[in-house]
Amino acid sequence: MPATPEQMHLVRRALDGDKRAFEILVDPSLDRLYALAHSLAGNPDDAADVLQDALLKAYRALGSFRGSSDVHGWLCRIVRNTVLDEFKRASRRHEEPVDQVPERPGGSLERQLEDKQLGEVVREAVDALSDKLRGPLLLYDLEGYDYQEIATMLDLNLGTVKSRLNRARESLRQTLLDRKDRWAAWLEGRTDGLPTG
Amino acid sequence: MDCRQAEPLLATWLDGPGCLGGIEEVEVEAHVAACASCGRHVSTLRTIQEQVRAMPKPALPEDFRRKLHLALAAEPVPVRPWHVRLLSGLNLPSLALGAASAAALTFFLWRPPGPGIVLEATAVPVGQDVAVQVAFEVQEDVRDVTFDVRLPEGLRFVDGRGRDLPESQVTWQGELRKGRTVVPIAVRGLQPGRWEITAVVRKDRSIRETHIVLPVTGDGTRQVPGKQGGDA
Repeated sequence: MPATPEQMHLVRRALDGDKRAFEILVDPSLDRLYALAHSLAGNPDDAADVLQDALLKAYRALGSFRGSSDVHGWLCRIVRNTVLDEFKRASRRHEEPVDQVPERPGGSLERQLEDKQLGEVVREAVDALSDKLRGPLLLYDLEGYDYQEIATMLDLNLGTVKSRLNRARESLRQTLLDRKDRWAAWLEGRTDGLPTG
Repeated sequence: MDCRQAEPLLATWLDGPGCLGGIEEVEVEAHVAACASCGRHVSTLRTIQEQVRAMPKPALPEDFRRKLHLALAAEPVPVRPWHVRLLSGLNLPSLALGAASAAALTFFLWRPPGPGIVLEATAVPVGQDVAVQVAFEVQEDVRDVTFDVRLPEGLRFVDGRGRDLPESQVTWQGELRKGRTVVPIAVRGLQPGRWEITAVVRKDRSIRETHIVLPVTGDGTRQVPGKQGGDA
């Protein structure tokens, strides 16, 4: 979908020196771009930094935007490329592994504690996913975007989005089972929560 | 359906009705209902999904817009690349109709048999402007491409407001998206003759050069600059 006449008007104003026009141009996309940056960068601080860097790159490159593509899609591409450029897997921050795993509890307070600690284990596993797998996973399960929206944001086809989402979940499952600790046994032993769909 | 067939589909089936679709969805549902092992597999995936959904959902920091505003204030106004300056304000359809003339050439990059194909070339009267459409077609996205367009002495680049641009050659960097990209460039006929426009595109060591002859006839009258440009 090409840029709208209103968007191209803002582009021309920005190129004529009206920086506020650029802010108006990108504002409707900011929340979604931040979600995208977070899903790829892996943490909120890096997401904010990388998004600002990406928007400044977009501003500097505004002259090359010809309007043949959607503004939001163009910005998504710049965010993705910025993340890839600036955050290599080796430099991503990793939390220390959780070394205290509880016994399988029975009461509700214990269940809350269990969920909290399992959540930390899952977050650690999510953080260890590759960018390709973490992006679709967080955009779908955490941010609530549907397959088609994610396909647009990541410039992928629908089948690839499903495939990567599938691989991300299986990778998380395998990572947790490979821990060979009490969480793995606990997860394998659970039988509640079967989907009804 | 057995476990080996079902397992790769479980994570997608987890997303609910319609996500897997078709007969597979029905078969997976039946298999999971009957298979304790796959039932545990799904349960584990669901637990993980619940934990991901329970992770703190990041929100755009409250001060993000202020920080962006300050960062933009320190930025110089972006420079318009040459091809954008050429196109700025260009209202292509009206220009093409007004000049009653249009020329086009196409590059087929990195795809055999390779030579550029002239689609159309008609004359432009002296003093009038014409939109030359340079089309590029690639089978996949190509980054870091260098474009180069050169005009002979009988032609001149003009911007979208119909103003003369002194350069006889423009070069810019860009990228090509998969499929067809058309770059319209406005030129003016200066002297009668058959003038050859050269367009070159480079990607690493791969170079494609295409020429198009644009006749300039001597029966034109100079139009007032700005009358046939766009809205900018």
